Amino acid sequence: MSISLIEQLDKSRYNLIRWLTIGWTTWFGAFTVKDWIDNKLTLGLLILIGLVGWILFVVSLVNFLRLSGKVNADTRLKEALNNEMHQLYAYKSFLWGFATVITVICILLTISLFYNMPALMVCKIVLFFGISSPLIAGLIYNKG
Amino acid sequence: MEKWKLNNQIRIQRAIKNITQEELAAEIGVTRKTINTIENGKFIPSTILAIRLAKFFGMSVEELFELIEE
Repeated sequence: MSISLIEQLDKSRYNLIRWLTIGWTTWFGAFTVKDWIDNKLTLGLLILIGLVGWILFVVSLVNFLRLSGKVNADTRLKEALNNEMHQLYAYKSFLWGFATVITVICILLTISLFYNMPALMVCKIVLFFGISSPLIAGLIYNKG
Repeated sequence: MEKWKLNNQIRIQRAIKNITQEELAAEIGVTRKTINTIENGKFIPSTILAIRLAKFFGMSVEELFELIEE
């Protein structure tokens, strides 16, 4: 049975979001955690992992943007792949991102009462969770 | 306050016509996921999509979808 173009693009888009998520969490996670590592060997390994994650993230992002462009250029594909269900899932995913950012900021504010944290570290942590959360939510909503 | 649920006959009609979710999706011009979530009641289709589905099965929207009070 041949899979329609719509299904192929839907599956491709899902896979690209998955690789985006893996790339982002690996790259930015390593980028954030490395500030706490003193051991040179561990730091080197972390940087290597982060680099792999960065490559994965950039390649996936470029392909995702290409696919989105292809979908948006075709009315039939746009109607099928960006219909109200997909828009609802995107909206819900961003809601999760917003809720996560607020929660993380509240937690960090509480921690700051007892422990001084560098501003850069705070920004990295908020950004990490703020972007990971809607990506993961998007994967969960669009699964199956 | 009353709670309403939208039931549908899509799975039954698909079985009668002997088509898969993927085939139905291809006919209607949506993804299989969309058909799956509508069938399982997780997503309420737009008016346009509901009419297209009903037209495909040769039924009215009211015959394909049923609004019941929970």
